[in-house]
Amino acid sequence: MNEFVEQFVIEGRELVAQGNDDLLGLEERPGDKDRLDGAFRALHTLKGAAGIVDFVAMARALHAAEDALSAVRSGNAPVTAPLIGLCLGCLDQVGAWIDLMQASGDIPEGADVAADDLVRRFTDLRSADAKLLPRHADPSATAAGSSTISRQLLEAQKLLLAERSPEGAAGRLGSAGRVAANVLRHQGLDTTDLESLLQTSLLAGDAALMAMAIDRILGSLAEKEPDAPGMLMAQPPDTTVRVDVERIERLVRLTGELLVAKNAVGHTARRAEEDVDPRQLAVALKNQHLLLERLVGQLQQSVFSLRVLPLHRAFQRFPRLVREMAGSVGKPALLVIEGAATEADKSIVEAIAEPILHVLRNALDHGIEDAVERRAAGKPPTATIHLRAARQGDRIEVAVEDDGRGIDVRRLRKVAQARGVASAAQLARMSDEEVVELIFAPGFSTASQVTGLSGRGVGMDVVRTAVERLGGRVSVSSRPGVGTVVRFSLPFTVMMTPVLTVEAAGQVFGVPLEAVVETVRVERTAIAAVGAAQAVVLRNRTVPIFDLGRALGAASGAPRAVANLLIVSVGGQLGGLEVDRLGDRLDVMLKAPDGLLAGVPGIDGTTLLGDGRVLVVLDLGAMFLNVQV
Amino acid sequence: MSFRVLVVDDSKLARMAVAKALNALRPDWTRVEASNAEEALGHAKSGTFDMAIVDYNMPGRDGLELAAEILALKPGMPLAVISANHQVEVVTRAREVGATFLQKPLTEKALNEFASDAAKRLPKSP
Repeated sequence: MNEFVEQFVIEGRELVAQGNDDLLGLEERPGDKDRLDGAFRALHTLKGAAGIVDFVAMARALHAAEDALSAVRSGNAPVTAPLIGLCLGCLDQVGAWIDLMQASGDIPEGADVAADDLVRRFTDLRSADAKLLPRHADPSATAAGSSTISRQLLEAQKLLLAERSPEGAAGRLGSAGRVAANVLRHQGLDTTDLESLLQTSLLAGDAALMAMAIDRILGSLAEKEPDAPGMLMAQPPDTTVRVDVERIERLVRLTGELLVAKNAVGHTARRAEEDVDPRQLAVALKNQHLLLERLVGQLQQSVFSLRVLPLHRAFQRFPRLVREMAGSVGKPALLVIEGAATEADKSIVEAIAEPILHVLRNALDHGIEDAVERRAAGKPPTATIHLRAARQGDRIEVAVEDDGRGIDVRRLRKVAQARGVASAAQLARMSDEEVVELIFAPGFSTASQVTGLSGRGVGMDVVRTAVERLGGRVSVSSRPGVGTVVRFSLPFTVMMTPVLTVEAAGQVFGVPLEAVVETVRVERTAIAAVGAAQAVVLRNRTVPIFDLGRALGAASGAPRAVANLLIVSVGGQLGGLEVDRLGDRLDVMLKAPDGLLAGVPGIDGTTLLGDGRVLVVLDLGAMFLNVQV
Repeated sequence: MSFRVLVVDDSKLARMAVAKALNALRPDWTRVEASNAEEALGHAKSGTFDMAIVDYNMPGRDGLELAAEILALKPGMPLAVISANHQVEVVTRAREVGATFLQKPLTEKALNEFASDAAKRLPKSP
């Protein structure tokens, strides 16, 4: 990828995020000039960037969006939901193009069709007398919903064509043809074929041909179905990190100091060749060691700080997603974000977006009442969700607080019992606070109706698993009629340990990857008994091996003809571990063994797998020691 | 004759584009870059450049305000304001503060004209 495209991708993403942010702010306060200017500038700079990399179609689409905002700036057009919706749609398209460019390094093909479509929609928006549009028209009618409307129109035409009476057949055919052609035009497609088909059908008096053509158009619409609201689009993981110049300069300064310290060691080494009092040398070396220790410590800290990102990176897409989700469930809601500048390790920032989004989705789906119910309860019709983040010592605290109806504990008790999450006796002993925590139990979901948002077969247990994998905790508290708060407590940084998973005796275990030298497959006959133990000769070295399954006390079946061996290095000694199967390489956060596992020899730690299972990571040193004794 | 050119644009991509064009046209000229008005004025005060190319559309102070401030510090210095939108108002105001207006995306031809003109206006020994 050339450096221009590379910079285009970096800058483009930032501008899309900034534009989204300002557009949403503008929709909230249509008179906010700063937001308007910010949104305009984002579109304008994006257009300029497109011009630099010769992406003509993108520049054209952005020019149309820029014109629309320009009209607002000069006071010739109002800020309407359809206008904001269309501008956001335009930025979505730009974001998709940027993703494609990052993947291929080139200007995406077929961008013209999408650009034409956007330009036409901006023209339509302006030609419809903007002042007659209701202030809060359904935003989906312009962007996402257009294919739904098209589909309804086409379905109606099919019904019309199915009418068998010969009377008015030509009229019905003509109407269907016109509607189908309009839909095609709206999609930016050519209508010549359809028009000639209409003539043929009219001449033959045959509606079947037209019905088939409509079916084809319906099929093509289905492919264009927009994403369900509230989905995080899979983003390629960031391979670049933007770093403050100040942090770089600190590294440069440290490098300078390290060079000086290195030279000093060289000087001491030369003095050692001469006849110098060893005690004098020891003093010099000790001082230099202290200096180096301090510098290396600072270096380590500075390097870690390069991986630190503001939580804003995870939060920036939320206002937009909440807007979409609120629209799709018909509950007006506002997201208020505080503390987005709070910093955390890149891996935490990247991994936390999905769990928080899940909680936001739940709040909209279950926690927040519709406008009618809210009014009856004396609440403002628009719900507010607060998303707060703050650093507390070495942890990051994030809270999602809604002002909805709260969790109905009595209902929760019933559901918990009905679903077998807890027995009646257990429930009777539990306090309300404890019962509320049951929403994190696997398979627990209180949704009385499956909606488009939740009802994906995942519950809050997924949130808990994801957070615990990061070494975090999640808790919930709720007050009836007042709202629900979900709190996340996350580590500032995570140390990831690479492990290799292996299968033995029907169980999956992890082995620290740093201990693994190689994996080999050897014929059973190559394994020889050495006293009570077994060994194999590898490249002229005798390597003791043991069967992991048997070592764990599982009765192993008939030995395989070919053994899968993991050659590991423990305390400088090579050893072979026979396993049934080799698995994947994973980066995991190791947790010290606790509970039942505490004190069991041979266990290094545990971690949660993506599916919620516990992976036991083996302490090879202890295992080999035990076997050899 | 070698000159130093200050390039002011909040977009690094845009600065890269100007740099590429300048390198092709005047390989012996050097560049000073600034991503906002404050940095640009810092350079103007320490006097480290002979001419400037300033983007119109920037957050905070726009390019024309910045151009006027730079020219107040360095009267008569060759300065171009560039913008993707050829608005009459921007063009007129640019002329009023004594700057040249250039259209974005910057073509080598337009940049060459500005550079030749600037070189003629500047004193022969820096």
